[in-house]
Amino acid sequence: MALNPGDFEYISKIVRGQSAIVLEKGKEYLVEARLTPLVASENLGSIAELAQQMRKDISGKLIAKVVEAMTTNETSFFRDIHPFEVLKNTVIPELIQKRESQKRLNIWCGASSSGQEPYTLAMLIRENFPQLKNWKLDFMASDISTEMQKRCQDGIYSQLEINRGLPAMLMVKYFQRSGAQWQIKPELRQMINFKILNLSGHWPLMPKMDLVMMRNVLIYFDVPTKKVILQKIRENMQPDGYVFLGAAETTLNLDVKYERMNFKQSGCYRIKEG
Amino acid sequence: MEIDFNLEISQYTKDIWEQILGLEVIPTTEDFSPTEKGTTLAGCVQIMGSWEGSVELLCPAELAKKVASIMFGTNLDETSEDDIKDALGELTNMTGGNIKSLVHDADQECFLSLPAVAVSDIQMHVPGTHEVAKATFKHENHLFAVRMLKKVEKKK
Amino acid sequence: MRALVIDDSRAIRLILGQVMKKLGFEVVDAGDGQQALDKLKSDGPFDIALVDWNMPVMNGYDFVVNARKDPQYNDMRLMMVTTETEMAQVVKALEAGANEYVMKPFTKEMIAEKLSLLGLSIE
Repeated sequence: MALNPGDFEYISKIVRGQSAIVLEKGKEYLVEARLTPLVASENLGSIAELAQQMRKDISGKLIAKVVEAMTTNETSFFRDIHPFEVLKNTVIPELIQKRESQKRLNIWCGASSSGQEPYTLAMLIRENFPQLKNWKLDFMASDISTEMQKRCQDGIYSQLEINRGLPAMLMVKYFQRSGAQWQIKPELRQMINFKILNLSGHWPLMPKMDLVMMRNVLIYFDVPTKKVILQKIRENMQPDGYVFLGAAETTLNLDVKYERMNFKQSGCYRIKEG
Repeated sequence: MEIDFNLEISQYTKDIWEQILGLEVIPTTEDFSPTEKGTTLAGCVQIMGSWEGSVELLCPAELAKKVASIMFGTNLDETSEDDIKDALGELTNMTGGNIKSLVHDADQECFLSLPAVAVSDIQMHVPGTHEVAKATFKHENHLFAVRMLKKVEKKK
Repeated sequence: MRALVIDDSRAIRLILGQVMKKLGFEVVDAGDGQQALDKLKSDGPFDIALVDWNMPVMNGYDFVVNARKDPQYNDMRLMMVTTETEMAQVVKALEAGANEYVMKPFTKEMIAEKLSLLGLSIE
């Protein structure tokens, strides 16, 4: 589906205004890929027609759908295996040791999308750290999208999604069949508190986090917004907590107060001492 | 919860054709009647056990040939009859396997037969069964259909 | 690394074979479970076998059971790639000794992700 420069600019501007996600020139493909299904479900003929309808959209409903479609992310369970290995072998054992006296751990997934990342982390915790069942575990997962927050809460995945990166052993243990779909068992769903949160907007009061997952989301923001988000993460973290960014992301030139951990390909950071 | 078979078949069929073949198929309300459209091939798998019946994939020969040429990576004119039967058989197998997971009783075993493919210019009639769902799809100018037939239970 | 692709459909053997080759594997294929057992002897060892369930002569489940009886194949990973998608079937295959399970239809990404879970990715 072809996209003309005027419509691309218009859609970019709308999306930027509503979500602070930057769609620079060259990201036309992304707009086409994300909006083509919406064009079909709205019974429109083209993205041009969609853009035309958006301009007349007084209620804001169509614009909300466009922003939603542009900000959701294709994802799989155990996406990039390395960070989860580092979490399992190094980061979580260390945090458990340090928090032994309080028996309290605060975790935040900052861009939970359709829920694969928080549920992967929840499975990893249940599988490897059974002792945390007796701790006060505050596990928050947030996303900008209302639809995604609802999807996360339901924890329902299609066969195609369940095939992506999820070990069969864990599927058998933590999922149940729901018609043609697969649903996360209640025990795991109840571990996580799903919220709506716009990273470039106002953040609610939250406990000081021990672990923050913020992978592959900063790429959507422009430099000043990235800086603000990284700073706010620091302010909401325990001084000895950890942040995970996407493997290809960096705090370099954005925030000097982070240091990258020397864990292979995991994008793991902590706040510099002193 | 009642399962809407037509809806599930539509989703499975779209997924299979898109993932395996990269072809876009659209559910349609148009009727596909094999008699009107030249040679039609029918792929069929039986489901046996806690649910008994069969699943059919009815496909015009021309579309089946395109499917086979994609799966085997051959040119249309060098696609053999064997390739076509194999490709259509596998698509029927995938469709049937997915449908089986919806109908089987979790406590009992349920089996899928190997697929059979035949030329069928008339609508196949399997004695002792009735149609529980039929979904028709469109790919470009081709129509094709998936039928689900359930064995009529004998009166005691 | 070497993979044995087992499926009665020639089309799937071809497609799955191509996927595995693109992922850096040397591929041998077999059309049913019995042929596959023979190829283990004649063409082995393999790092992984990708196994369809419903096949003539010997089905994939029986292949897994038989392959796991022989200790010399202990290190070979077994991954079902099948249209059998019921939870009970997945459990049955895992209990018989399969290491992973992919439900058809599959994509190259799915296969690659599962291989990486099994520690078999070539990067």
